[in-house]
Amino acid sequence: MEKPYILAVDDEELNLIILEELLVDKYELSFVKNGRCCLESVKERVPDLILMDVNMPIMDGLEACSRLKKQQSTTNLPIIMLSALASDAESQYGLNVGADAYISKPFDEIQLLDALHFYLN
Amino acid sequence: MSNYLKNKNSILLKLALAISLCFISAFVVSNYLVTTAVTPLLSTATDESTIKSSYEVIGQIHQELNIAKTLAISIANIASTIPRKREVLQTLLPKIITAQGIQKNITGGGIWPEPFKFDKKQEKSSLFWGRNKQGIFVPFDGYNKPSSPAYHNEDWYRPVKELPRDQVNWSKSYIDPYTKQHMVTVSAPIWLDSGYYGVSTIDLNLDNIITSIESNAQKLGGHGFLVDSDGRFISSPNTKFGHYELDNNSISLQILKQNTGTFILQKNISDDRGTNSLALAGNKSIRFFDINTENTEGDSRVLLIHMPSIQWTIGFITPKTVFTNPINSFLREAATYQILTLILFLGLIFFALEKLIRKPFFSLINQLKDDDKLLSYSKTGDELAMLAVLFNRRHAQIQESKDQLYEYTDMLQRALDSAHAGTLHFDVANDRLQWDERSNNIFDLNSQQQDIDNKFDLLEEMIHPDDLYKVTSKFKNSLDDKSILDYQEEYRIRLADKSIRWIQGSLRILRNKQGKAISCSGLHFDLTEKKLSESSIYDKEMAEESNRLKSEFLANMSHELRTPMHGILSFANFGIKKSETASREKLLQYFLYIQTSGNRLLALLNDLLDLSKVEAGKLILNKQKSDLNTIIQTCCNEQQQHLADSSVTLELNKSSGTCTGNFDPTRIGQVICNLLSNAIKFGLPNGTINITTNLNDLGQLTFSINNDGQPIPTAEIETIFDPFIQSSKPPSDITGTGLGLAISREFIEAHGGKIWAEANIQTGATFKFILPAK
Repeated sequence: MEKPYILAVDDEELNLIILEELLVDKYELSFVKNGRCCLESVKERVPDLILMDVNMPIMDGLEACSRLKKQQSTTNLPIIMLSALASDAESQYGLNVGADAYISKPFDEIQLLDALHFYLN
Repeated sequence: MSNYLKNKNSILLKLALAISLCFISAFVVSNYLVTTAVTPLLSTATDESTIKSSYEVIGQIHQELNIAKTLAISIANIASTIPRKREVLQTLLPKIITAQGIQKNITGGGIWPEPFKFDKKQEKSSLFWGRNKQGIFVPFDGYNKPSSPAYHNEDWYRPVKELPRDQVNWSKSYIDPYTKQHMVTVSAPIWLDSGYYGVSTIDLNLDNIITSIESNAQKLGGHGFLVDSDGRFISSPNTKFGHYELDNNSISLQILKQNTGTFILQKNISDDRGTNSLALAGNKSIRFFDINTENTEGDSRVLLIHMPSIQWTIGFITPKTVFTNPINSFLREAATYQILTLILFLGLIFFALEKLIRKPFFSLINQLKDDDKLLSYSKTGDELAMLAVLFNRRHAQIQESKDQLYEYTDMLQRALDSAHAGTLHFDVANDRLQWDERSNNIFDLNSQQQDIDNKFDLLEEMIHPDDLYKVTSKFKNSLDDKSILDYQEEYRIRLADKSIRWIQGSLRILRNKQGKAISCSGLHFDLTEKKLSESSIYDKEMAEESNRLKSEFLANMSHELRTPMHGILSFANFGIKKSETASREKLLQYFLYIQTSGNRLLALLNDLLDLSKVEAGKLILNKQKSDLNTIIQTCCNEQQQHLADSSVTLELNKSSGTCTGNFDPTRIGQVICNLLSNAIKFGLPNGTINITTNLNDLGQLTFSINNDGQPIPTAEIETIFDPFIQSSKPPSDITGTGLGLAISREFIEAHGGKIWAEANIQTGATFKFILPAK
């Protein structure tokens, strides 16, 4: 059985390394560094799920999420926000632009894996 | 009536005067017309009556002359039949003369054969009859005696010889030497069959004629005269008529009393021969002319009538007053009636003016003295009634406007009251400022100050010294600048109790056509409370802003802390979880990541520490001789990875000389690293970053960094240097604490330099700073 394909978007290299360390065994991973690169990557290959940081240069995660959710082809693509912006208000912004889940950093591994499991099955 | 007689401008007075003037003019003109029209008419009539009475005299004269003439001819005819019957004739002739019935004027007559003088030899002898002392005709035979004087002039005798039968010759008048009477002799020729025989004569006494002339002249009121053909007076005017000058026809006339007792009427004074005097009458048989006399008679009118049959001229001199008196009396009478009529008319007019105009007029005028009264006017339809109606209508309109005005004024007053605004008015020409009670209150003036008429000096005294120049210079500029319509200024005044009050003065400037300010009117407001509340609001806003910034800062801090925290915790978890299974290298890698994240956390904490130090004033600079370009190179090396990631090209434009100065290299390095990091973060991928340094003539080190990214909005040029603030463009792409520029500014300013941003759409964002080199 083929591994689900996850696109991780974060401008912090270290965060991507953490995700790779955590998920590389169960999922096929791809990394980009901002929202614009994310949109380009989705055009080439639509992932099964996107893990999206919020604060990024060029285009932030909220904008990228919003655009993807408005596109017909990706409107049902699950997007999980991962952000160091931890307040309720900020998580609400993320859900408002269409994100399926909002997980604040630092996150609990189990919480992330449960969420992935929920959205990919 | 006296009211308008006292008023020089009274229309009624003018009207009355104008009407009076018209009537008086009409009177004068009509009087003149009557005088000029009537005078010649009356004069002509008088002339005609004069002529008529003169002709009566002439008729009488002719009658007397004709009798004498007829007698002379009759006697001649008788003598031609019986010339030599001397006795017969002597008897017959007195009877013929007496038979005429007027013999009284016939003083004598005779038959004179040619030659009539006595001659012894001649057969013929003269016959002559004259009156004796009893008035009875008796024959005189003296002529036929040689001793008798022959006093008959031949002048009356000789011309007769040329005459045909029944024709006569009149002698000149003469005075009989015996009787001293005025006489004239008429002669008729006696023709026989055999030829000329001699002359028959009749002597006529002229007393009768002279008397009738005199009486006629008296009847006319003047004097009469009769002039012989040779110019001698037969009948003379009274001797007091010494000298006349005739003003007409350039003829001057002198009547001279001769030694002989006769008068000569001369054509010219110089012509003492007097021969031309008969030319007076000229060719006309009747002639009038005026003469001026030197005597008391005054101007006189002369009538001359020529009698061709005997070549006499009869004249009457009448003083002009005789003619003019009746005319003048007529004219006087006419004028009297005219004046009476005039007075009557003027009286009527004044009565009409009084009744029809003055009374109604003054009735209205008296009513008008009572301000609020409407006019009542008893008559209807005339002009004054219309005036009264229109006045009442206008009065109502004015009343309405007045009410409105009161209402508006009241509204305005209430509005001013509600606004606590005081009014003021400045008269530019007189430099005079006045204001109302409300302004007095706003300026908290005492009663003495309130009485000052011109508040200008008072105002200058009260305005806070710090504001005085601002207020006065701006006001002066506003007055001078023609384009300025309104002046408004806020300023402080100092009250007697040393307290400060904020005033707003607003003025609208009124200008003439040339734009010169004439006056200003406007309002005073007391802004003190508003200023206080604004100040408290400002403080509150500042506090809120500070709170907000702190919350933002905390939120930012949370994010910035969480990011490295996430790294530390995640890799620590991986290490713990895989401590048994993972390779040694793998675990080492985990520790390295934990270290990196920890360092980042530390850097952040250092940033915070720096800022708090600076803000607390505890920053210590470690100044030493350093080269700016060296520090830049170090920073570029540190940012090498970033530059490579963004594919940004870095261009360094170092100054030709050294850029060495005395400063803290660590702090300035922080600043440059921060600026370079920002330039990369906010720049375009694959863009270019320019860095320029210089040591300028003022001994300042200059640094400039520019990228080709988004320019900084002008509004944010200042605020981006505030702590926790990031440029809004692009708002969410950039990570960072928002402390970099704030710290940079503190460091540069601590060195006595200056840092600023420049917005330039063409060239992206530019940051510059200058540092004193020493």
